[in-house]
Amino acid sequence: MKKKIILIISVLAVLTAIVTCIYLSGRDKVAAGNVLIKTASSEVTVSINDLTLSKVSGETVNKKGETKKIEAEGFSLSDVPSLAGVSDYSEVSVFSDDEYNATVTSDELKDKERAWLISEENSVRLIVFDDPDSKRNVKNVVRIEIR
Amino acid sequence: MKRLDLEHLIFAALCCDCGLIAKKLIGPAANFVTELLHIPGGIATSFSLMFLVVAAATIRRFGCATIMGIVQSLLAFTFGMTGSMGALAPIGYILPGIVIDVILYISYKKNPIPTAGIVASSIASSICACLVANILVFNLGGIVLLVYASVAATSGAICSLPAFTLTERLIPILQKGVHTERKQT
Repeated sequence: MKKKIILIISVLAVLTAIVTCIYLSGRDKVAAGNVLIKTASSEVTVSINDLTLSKVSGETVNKKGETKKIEAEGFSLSDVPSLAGVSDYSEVSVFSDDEYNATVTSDELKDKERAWLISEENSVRLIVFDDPDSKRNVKNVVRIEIR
Repeated sequence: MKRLDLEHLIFAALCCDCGLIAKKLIGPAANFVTELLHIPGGIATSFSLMFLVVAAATIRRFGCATIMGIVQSLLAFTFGMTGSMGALAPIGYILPGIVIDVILYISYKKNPIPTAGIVASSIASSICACLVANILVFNLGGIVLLVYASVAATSGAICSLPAFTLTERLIPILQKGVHTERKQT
């Protein structure tokens, strides 16, 4: 019976390897600290360190209700569409390296202080203030899609 | 419904704890693999669910894994181990438990050790847990979701091997213990 289980494991492992190869070969490759900005018609790669960063301070609340003070340097997410030459959009989706993603609407981005791309050591983090939890805080940001 | 023996209850409680602790212990190694694959998880949960499969296959009572899932979700709340699911964590613990119960129940007939049920429930519960996490937290789609689900299925299948071995060895031990307890009463 153990041989049958090992056979099932082998079949699943091969299938997983095939799907993983397809997925990894199709991924956008972005250097550390860079972010790929995608629109319907264009793609731009920017480095967070090349942008003019502002001081960001505020508090975020996690799902347990604990507050965390944020003191960092960052770039307002509301200014990201202009980097790709986009002025009319409905939402901005921010993707992590592991494809975890959060969407911020254009209405929310009317407040420039609401969502920030924060520079961390060799990576970028999305911080969204005034959320009831930290579900939209995305670490290791690699891609932003503007729709 | 027959009453559960004390040995079985203690064993189920132990498996609940082992499942939670195993998830924490294997977490760093699992994260190393999932980071390489650029997916948000799918391995540690399968390892945790293995203990539910072992307990349910050994005790052989419908509802065992579901009750264990409820107990695990209560323990997770108590110890602050709800992870990224937060208040919705019980769904992530209970639904895979239901899947284990249903599959094992189907495979119990005429099988002293439900091998096919152990393998199928381990794989299906891992996929179920990954899909629940995806709906509640990750919102992945397309090829990424397929990779995430297939990694969960493979790790579920890998975990079914020790689950089968453990069940095979534990069934005679627990039955012996139960018979001794009955003789004493």
